[in-house]
Amino acid sequence: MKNLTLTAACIAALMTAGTSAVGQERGGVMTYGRYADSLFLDPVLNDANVDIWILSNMYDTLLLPSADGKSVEPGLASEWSVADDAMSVTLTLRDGIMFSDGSPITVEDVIWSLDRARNPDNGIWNFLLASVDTVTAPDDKTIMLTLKQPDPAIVAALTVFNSAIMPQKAFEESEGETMAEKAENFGTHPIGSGAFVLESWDRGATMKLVRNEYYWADGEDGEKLPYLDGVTFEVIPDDATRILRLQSGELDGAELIPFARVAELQSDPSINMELFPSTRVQYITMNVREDIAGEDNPLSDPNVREAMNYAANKQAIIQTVTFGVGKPMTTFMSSATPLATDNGPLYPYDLEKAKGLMAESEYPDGFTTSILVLAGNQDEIGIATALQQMWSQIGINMEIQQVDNATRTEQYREGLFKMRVAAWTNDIADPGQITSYFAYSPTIDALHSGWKSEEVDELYEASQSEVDEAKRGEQYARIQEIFNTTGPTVPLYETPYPVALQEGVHGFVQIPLGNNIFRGAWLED
Amino acid sequence: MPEFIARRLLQLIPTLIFILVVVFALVRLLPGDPASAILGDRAIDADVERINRELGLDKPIPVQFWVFVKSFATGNLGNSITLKLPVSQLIADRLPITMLLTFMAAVISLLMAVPLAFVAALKRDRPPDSIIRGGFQVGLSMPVFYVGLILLTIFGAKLRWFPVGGYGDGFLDHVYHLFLPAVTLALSLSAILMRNLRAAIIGVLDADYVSFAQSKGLATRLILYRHILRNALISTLALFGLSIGTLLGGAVITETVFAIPGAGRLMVDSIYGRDYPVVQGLTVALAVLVSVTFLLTDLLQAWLDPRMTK
Amino acid sequence: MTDTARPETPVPSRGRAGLLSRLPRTFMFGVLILGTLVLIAIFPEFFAPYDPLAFDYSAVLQPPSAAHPFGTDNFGRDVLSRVIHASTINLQIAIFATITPFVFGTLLGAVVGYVGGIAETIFGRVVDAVITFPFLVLVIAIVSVLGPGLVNMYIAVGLVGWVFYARIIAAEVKVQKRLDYADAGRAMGYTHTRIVFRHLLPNSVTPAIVYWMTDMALAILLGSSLGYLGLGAQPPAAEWGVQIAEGKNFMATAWWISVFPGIAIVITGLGFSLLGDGLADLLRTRK
Repeated sequence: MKNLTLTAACIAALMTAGTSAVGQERGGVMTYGRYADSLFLDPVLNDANVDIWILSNMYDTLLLPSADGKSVEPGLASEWSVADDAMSVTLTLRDGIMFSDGSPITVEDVIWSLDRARNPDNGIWNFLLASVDTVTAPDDKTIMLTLKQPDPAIVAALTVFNSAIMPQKAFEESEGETMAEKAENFGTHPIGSGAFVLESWDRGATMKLVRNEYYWADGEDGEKLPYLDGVTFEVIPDDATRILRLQSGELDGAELIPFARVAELQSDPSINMELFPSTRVQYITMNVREDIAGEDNPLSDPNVREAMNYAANKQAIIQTVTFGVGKPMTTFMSSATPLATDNGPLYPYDLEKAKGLMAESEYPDGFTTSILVLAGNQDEIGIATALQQMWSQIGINMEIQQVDNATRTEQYREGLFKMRVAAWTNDIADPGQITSYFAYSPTIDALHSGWKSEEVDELYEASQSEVDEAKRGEQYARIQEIFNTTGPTVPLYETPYPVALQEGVHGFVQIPLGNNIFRGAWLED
Repeated sequence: MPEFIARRLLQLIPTLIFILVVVFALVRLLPGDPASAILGDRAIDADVERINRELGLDKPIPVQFWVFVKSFATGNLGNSITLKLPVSQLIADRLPITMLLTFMAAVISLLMAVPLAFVAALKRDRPPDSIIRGGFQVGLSMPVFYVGLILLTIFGAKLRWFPVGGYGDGFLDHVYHLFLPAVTLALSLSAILMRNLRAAIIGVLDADYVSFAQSKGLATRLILYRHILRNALISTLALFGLSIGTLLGGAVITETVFAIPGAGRLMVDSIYGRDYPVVQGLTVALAVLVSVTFLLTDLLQAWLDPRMTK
Repeated sequence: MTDTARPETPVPSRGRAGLLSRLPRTFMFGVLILGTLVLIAIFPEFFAPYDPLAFDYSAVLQPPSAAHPFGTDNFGRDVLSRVIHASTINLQIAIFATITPFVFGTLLGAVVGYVGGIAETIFGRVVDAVITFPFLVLVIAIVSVLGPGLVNMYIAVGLVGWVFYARIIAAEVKVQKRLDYADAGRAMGYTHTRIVFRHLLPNSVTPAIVYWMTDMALAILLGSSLGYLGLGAQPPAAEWGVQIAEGKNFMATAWWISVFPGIAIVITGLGFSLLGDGLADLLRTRK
């Protein structure tokens, strides 16, 4: 039996990584400035990052993602193991775990929660648990998942927000005739298993969380986590106002600092400008179909795409758009993704080579095309403006079209766009999700680009049930090689999460998947 | 007068029906659907179809319109697609914030515009006039997001006289929080009002009847009150009523910069999120609000100039 | 309430000789500002030291200097050249976004104000519907359906803007037509057209013209706000509002990116308002 169990001592060690040697102080409410309010606090039925990135503070999962986002730690389950045939997972629940209302977390709650999360009618995340056949409880401390086929990502999937454990009884007692209506009512005053519990929520303005007295984990000082009495989220959509509020001392932390302001805040002695490693990648998607709406599409020519990749000066874009905060990509997925390859930066800037490739292409005299950017988004506008100028050097005349998100998504889904600026963040510590969207054509036609590689499709399908880590690594290496050399994207850069904190804030992390973790945060007096 | 009010309220009905139809059609004409807006790049066809089915958006447009009209007639504005809350509750939560902001902005612009317009008009083409007009011009010409940030930096972060954004708790705290945003919003309106009022006062001053009155030996003060103020205010009031809609619209960027959870921000978020029920409900609510403001300014105008009601 | 002091016609009878000599200095100043601006807007290449779109990675975020009097932005583009080239687009916005609403709204307002009755009732409902409809919803909808860009922005602004002129003029004409001189015109057998357009309109148009001048400045501002939301001028074209939005993140570190276009808007707005006030004076004295 291949045992993946980690001991509690290990998490303690991991949790302290990055925090200073000063002793943790207890108490206080941390005020955190967010760019947008959450929409719907249901782990299963939500769809947006504004929910996902804070949900884990209210709802705990059986297993937890590590602070570096690459491995798994114990959560509500203290131990877990995958069977030798990889057809089942067994987990042991901690003793004495309780929901925020003080009622015990039972195996029935776990079974109900996981069954709800994997129900194909529920939300958009059930695919993460699609390999699960049954969830059962051999005894009142043990949970057993049997699988339809081996799934190398199943352990990571149990750390994802949608597999959070919810109280069946309280949920079912919520008002509403359908499960969806119950979820809507439950989500307005949830009873959870996370380190914090929702106290009040003034939509569009403030969300107040208070500490969950029944949370299971111990802090460094031997007492129960969290250290904080509470967390208050203030919604401040304007970047400049958010920073101003932080500088005036009204906030303890502020997320999504514009890259243009990072250096300025780094030089501010009272502010700790954090750049948390992320899985965020920024790239251009190209529609590679032979023709778009009846017109010949130059982007279908691999030489053209390669030429554009070489003509894009990523270093210059990293400087002008991210002010040096970003770094060049070595593969289409972020370097923080498990199994990501690194053979040096992709397509180093080489204008001569690009011109040669254009000369060899079917469009030696260049062509006219267009790119969609999100209206009013200065980063995307900056990228498109820079690329417009860079690609004009190889005879490509690119028009910039600003559209709103829904319009862009529609053109994207219908395959009518020519190019678009895009960004991606992983939701699970596994390369499967990003590869499914980017390269595996049955999911969304490889980013709706129309790109297709039989070999990639086969490798991806095989990798989905390949539990031999080394073999899976080889499969992913080959997928990345094919996609990186012939794929429908222009990889630009990866960036960290820029979060500004007051000097006296410690122990807060935003993990590479984006989750804001407050359970280990504490305020210095 | 009651008859006049009743007539005006009756006139509101066709206006609202027209707005209802237009907004229903307009939101559905927009490219993209709620599912695309919510899911963004994660959208998979199956999920988009499921969400549209759940929302009843897979039905033909006439059927959707009938459902909409039926529920609207019973006072049910539906539920927000993105926020999962009743639209009526959202409006009740958010609209009063924007109303207070707009009201404060309107009062501030009148307080700034009326006295200064008098000074400017009486000292026409002399230094006080130039300074007043120049000052208002600078205020008028600066984009709201820029003025807002400057005010926040100076009076919020540096001097600490006002909070850096937010809305606060309790009425007085709301007023305190909304002061800087209201000033920001008032700048362009006060400039427009001031210019118009100044021109109107000069027009009245130039007209002969003021000289007539003077020759009859009336006190200067009385001339000002009786003739200038009344005549000048009539056109200003018309402009003021017209501007309320713009002011409410201008609240969007102000609310964003000052982090105020008002109806303007809700409207923009809902348009971008293709949250049809919210856009529909809020549009109608705003229309009622603007119409009532019109009615009030018209009543005031009628009081100042009784011929208007005829 | 009676109004015994009403004159025969509300035009000043005080004689004033030498039209040019009595034009206020401020008016001449407005003409000067706008004249210069128009000149720059027609020949931006002549005035701009650099290509407004040219990148220079060796000179990004440079403060104002002899080489770059207004400094450079984060792409190393010369801010002065961008402000100069933007004047073309901004003046276009000021004119095209307002001229149709002004002409159409004024004419319609005059007719409605004169005819009254059922025309006024219908007009009232249409005006109510247009004004009460949230402007931003309309703009976002039109731009989303027709695509982003200036022309579609003009359409959106024009669809709403005429109402303001129409309402101002209708109210004025309604007052004017009750005055004696309008009755005199009717008694003398003038056609309705002549009474409306030769007599009532010239006497009522002043507030509309004053508003028009403000409206041009407002149109530039609106263009800026819409540019900020991505619905106006499209990159890489320089437009003052877009430039200010681009410079927002640099207010503390590179103020020149946003301050100079801001000054350009203020000066242009000043030009329009001085011109508007001057025109108002002029129209009052001419008759």
